[in-house]
Amino acid sequence: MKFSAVYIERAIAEHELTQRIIARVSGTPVIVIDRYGEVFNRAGQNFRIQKRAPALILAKKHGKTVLPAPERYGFEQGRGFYFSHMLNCLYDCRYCFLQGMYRSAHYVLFVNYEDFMAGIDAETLKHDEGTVFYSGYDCDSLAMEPISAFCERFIPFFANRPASILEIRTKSTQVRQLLDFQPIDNCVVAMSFTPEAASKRWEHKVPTLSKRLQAMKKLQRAGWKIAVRFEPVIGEAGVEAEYERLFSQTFSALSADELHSVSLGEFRLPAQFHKNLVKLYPDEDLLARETVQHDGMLSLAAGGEALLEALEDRLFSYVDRSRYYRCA
Amino acid sequence: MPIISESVLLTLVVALPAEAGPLKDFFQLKPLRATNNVFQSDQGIRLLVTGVGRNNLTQSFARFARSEFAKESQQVSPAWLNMGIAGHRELAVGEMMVANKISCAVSAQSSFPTPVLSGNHYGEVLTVDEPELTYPQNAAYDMEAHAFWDMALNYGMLDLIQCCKLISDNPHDGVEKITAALIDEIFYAASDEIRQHVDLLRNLAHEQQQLISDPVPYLEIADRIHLNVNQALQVRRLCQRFVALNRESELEALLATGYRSARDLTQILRESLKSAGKVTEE
Repeated sequence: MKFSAVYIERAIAEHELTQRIIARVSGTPVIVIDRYGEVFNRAGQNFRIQKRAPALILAKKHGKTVLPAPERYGFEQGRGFYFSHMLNCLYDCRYCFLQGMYRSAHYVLFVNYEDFMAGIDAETLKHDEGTVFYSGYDCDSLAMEPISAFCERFIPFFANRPASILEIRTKSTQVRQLLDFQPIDNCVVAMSFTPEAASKRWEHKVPTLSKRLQAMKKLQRAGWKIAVRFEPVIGEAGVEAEYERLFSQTFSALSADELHSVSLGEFRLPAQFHKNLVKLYPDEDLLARETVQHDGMLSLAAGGEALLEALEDRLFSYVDRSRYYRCA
Repeated sequence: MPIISESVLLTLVVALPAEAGPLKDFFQLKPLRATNNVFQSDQGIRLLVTGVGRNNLTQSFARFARSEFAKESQQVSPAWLNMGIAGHRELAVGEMMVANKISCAVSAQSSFPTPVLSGNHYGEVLTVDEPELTYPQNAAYDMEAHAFWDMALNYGMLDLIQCCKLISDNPHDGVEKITAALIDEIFYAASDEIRQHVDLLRNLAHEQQQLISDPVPYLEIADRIHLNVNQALQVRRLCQRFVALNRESELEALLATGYRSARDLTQILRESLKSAGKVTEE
């Protein structure tokens, strides 16, 4: 894993995780800063230019570390929360909302995991009905495991909190760390998939479909709870056949009966983010397509309810409905 | 492939005529009319020679920004690169250092250029008002970089504002040994690295300029009919969408059928994109 530079906030320079990461990236220029805002998301920065050679920023997360998850974000009942120990992702998916959210493509890793854990404990204590914590909302939780040690730290933490569920969202094949642990019942590894053609076209730097399916298979065999997220669905001619192929590939590699859950979710993002994406990639055909807007959220005109229903019909020939939800 | 560009993509900024000499040679820069400190090529590169120190640089920038040449282009240039000599406690004379932090010794303010350039050495450039003879910090000491950063921010793209320094003096070879011949020598010795940085920045600037340039069909429309600001924005994006969707021939056909007004044209283009936006399933 190569970074163009490593920026370190002075306040966490001596943090144990910071020291460990510095040792792992020897040879990369290290620059000490006061606050990560000095180098991240400054006015005038350009995501597309920075994405060519992103830097790693090690910082301290201040304030609230755990936030309520959007409605219908996940499958589980109970109060949903998300936490972002990292901002931005190794991959470069053309549809990703992160490009519209941040002006900067550098990776920000908040190393004060202890404060995230305290935040998780605080929310758990407040709610008797069970809590679900989603990781991977603003990043890919597994992709940078050798650097971030995310699973290494959070799996043992959740192992001691069986009433709380951790869902890790990812497109990564970095599952070695998870395989080194005994599976825990309250952790779900959720992998996102799009059909192979769509993945090749828009999911730059993402491992191939077959490699990701192999990684999921290993986890499933080892006893980990795994989930499949078919999103974002991008409606276009021939897409149903593409999904039929994807479903077939997926469920011949994975045991559908042992899956934790399966979901479909269409390509949608806040209108302002879409506008920002268009500025970055005015020549991108996906962003030039006809869109519809509801409550400030934008989705493709070619798609919508009819397409999702058609895909659901096909999906239910592989998966029991009880394991399915439609992602908001 | 060399980029031939009428507009300036990259402005190089140096303090000394001795630093400018090799750069003029490397990039075939010719004096710009009626100036003695601005040089330009037909490949999108401009060189500004400012004189030594923060004040000279600031005044030079201000003079240049008021000049006709700067006003001719919408953006003075997307990319800016400050090159020049600097002293360093540890690096040998002739080594090049890419700045990843630019600080001002007087104000104690620091800025952080985006890590776009790669090199053998990276570090802090510390701008001082008098030549530094004792090199107390592990930094490259110069006299302009921080002022350069502040000024270039007004005219360029933040990520494309860069600085790299060639080491001219250190505790073993002091400032008294710096001559025009030495400067010439270290610039020529670093010519490959300089060209590499210049090419990269120029290419990135070119890419950015291409992205914001008007699509050809839009330019033709704007030539033919009057568009108010709002209509211009809408028609421009509609044309951009046709191009991105690889439907230029359809756009040409629509334009050939004729339209009564800008409003009429917007409607025609929008309807066409809308009808094609619906998915057709086999």
